[in-house]
Amino acid sequence: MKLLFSLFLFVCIVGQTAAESCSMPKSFTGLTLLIRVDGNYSPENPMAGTLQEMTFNRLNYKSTIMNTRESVEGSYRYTHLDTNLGQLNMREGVGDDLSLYTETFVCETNTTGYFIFSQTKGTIKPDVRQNTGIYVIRK
Amino acid sequence: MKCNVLIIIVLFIFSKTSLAEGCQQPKSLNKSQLLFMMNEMYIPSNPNAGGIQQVNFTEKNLTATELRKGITSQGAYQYRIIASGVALVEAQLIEGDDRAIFRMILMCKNNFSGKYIFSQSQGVMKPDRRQNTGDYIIEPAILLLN
Repeated sequence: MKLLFSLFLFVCIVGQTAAESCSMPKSFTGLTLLIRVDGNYSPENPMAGTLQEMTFNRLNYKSTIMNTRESVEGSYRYTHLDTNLGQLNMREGVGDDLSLYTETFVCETNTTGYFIFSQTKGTIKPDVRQNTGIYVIRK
Repeated sequence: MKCNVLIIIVLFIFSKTSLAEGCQQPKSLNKSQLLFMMNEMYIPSNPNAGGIQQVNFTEKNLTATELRKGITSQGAYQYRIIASGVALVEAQLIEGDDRAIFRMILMCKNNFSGKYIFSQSQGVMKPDRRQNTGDYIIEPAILLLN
């Protein structure tokens, strides 16, 4: 019984520490992010290995592929889901060139962590595809 | 006669193509900011696997910051272009109480990015002698106001 209790306490404390170790920003306005896409190329990850810089103002964002300096723009909505979890909802292009995707962030520190990219419709096929990577908040 | 003219025209077109220049390395890294994306495979020679190193260069010194861990080191460097599209950075850094001595070969793919090979001969992260590779990116010029 004592063992069970101390184990429970241990997990509680460790769990608590882990959850409070970082926080996602409350807003993305004015932020600059570096996105490093996972390096393994696959049909779901055609942008493998690229480094992208994303800048955000209140409603719109600009994403530049730093390896080629090509850029795209779109509108976004950011939701702060939990202390260490946030999600961007992106809308890029129009008509046949419309891309809709989300980037879900889990922080490791206040400035860096991992993301899951999840597209439902896009110019880069297949429409439905996912991949992961690392993000860094530059400022 | 027509055939000869045709051959000459074709040769002219192809020779123009072969004279097209490849990418070029900058003449100097002064006031540049580079990003080094370290290869993602973790092996003892690549302890910073998957990391991103931001390096700011002044005329004689550089400051390197690992963006995920926030560790910074700085020191002196020398830069020169050793062949078309190939540049060499040699650096001697101070990392806490230790020194790091390394070289990086930068091979361009376009005028602002390419691959690099990092070769350390002495450093904080062991083993002293180790190598790894990755992609480098030269960021668009930042206007420095004096």
